Amino acid sequence: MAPLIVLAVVMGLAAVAFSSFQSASFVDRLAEQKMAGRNVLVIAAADQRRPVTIQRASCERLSEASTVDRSGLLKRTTNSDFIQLGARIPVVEASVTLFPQLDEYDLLIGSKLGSQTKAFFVKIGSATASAHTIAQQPTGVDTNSAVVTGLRAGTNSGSICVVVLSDLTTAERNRAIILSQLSSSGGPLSATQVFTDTSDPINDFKNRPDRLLPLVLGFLGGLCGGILNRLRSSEIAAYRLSGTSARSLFVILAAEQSLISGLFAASAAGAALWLGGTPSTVWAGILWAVSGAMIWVTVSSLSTIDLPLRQPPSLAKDRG
Amino acid sequence: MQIDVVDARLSFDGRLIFDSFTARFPSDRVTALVGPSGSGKSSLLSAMAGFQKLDSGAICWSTGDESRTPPIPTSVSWIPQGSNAIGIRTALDNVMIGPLAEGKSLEQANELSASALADVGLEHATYRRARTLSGGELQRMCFARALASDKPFIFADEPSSSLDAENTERLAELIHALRARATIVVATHDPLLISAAECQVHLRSGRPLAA
Repeated sequence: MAPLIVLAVVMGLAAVAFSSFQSASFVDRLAEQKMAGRNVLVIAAADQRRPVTIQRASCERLSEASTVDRSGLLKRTTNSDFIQLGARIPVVEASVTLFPQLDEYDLLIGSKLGSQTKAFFVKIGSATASAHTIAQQPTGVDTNSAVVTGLRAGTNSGSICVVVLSDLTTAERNRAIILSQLSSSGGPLSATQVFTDTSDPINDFKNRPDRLLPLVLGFLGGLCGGILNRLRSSEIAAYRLSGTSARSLFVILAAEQSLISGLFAASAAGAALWLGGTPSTVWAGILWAVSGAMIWVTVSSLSTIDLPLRQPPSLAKDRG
Repeated sequence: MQIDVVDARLSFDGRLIFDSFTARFPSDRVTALVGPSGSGKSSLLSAMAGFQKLDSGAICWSTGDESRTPPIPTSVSWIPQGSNAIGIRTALDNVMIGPLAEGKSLEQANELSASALADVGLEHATYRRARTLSGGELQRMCFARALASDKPFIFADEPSSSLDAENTERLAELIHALRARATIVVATHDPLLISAAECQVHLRSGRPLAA
């Protein structure tokens, strides 16, 4: 029985470790694609010969949708000189809904222009402005080498609306809805996804076949438990010959396998908690492990269901 | 309780094992069921315990009065040929399975089992793991389990088949000492065990003979 116990613990750890590795790879892949602009839609004129005017309110209102992280107008203005940052730095005006930090600071400094982690002040002529360096922005929100400032008072429209979608949705699903919600005039609009992958990583992750590994391991563990019980037929005969009923013996064998499969689930749960991650991934790991344990008990019980029912004298003659 | 076998016939896989067999196994006595290998001793014993059905004929159990019952497997303590034990558990644990299966409390089972182990001369091995016991000790442990269960019948199927002469002699002494504790039937072709019995039933003749 000791080898089966060790197997249960190892299988539980393996199931979660593999799942954790997959989750980490998925998160890394999403982060990489996010930076490449997977979730960014740049809405502008479909035909450069027919300029468009996008209403500011309709563009900013998109950020209220559950599938949108942030959205707003983006306007490139002239280059300016900044004493701390350098000469001819591009300046971009943007909606607060696209860069919420504009509520707190006058200027946001692109990640390539500075690495200061704390707020500071920038001299612009004789005036000073509060500033903060922002994190690297994804492709499509091209402000990493620029200074971002809020839209001027009275700006009601623009020619570019940038929409940054939430992580777990795709541009394909949202493109048509977003375009239909924008108010614009002039030519037709197009919503360009900056980065497209050949496959949907979210779908790939949700439907990956190896997510069933805990169930497969539970099945294999149950088979091992069943085989071990068959090798113990001599011991099982001792129970039956002593007067233990077939039903009681079945309960004894099922209880044994329940304890062992419980170890499988417990080691998986322990590993899930220790490896951490988001609460949903931890709970997912635990639930998969519990399912695997239930399969373990079912398979081991079914594979030895005949043993308690056999006549004890014939069972005694088996040599385990 | 005595056992009456009347006109029994049994075949297996198309082969006739015994036919028209009639015998009586007296109450509270040790009877040797004698016959050469392959004569059907184990099969008859199994039928007498209710584990197997006859092709024809009847087996019934009865007390001195008129009440008769067909064999009831749960009323039989069966001692197999090999040593069926739970190796990792102690001799006491192995014996306790019997009374526990009967519904006795843990305390009662413990007391009965310790007493039974003493009766069979295994008091010294009470707390030893079964896998450390010799073949002879394991067979005596099986007898202890049967005694602790306090069932009316003890059936032993070739209990000395894997034992040497010395252990067989000890087993024979034990079987002889257990007379009057239950109706004991020992299927055997070993002369030592046959001589330890009070009665013999030969499978060929089907007639009980006094020892």
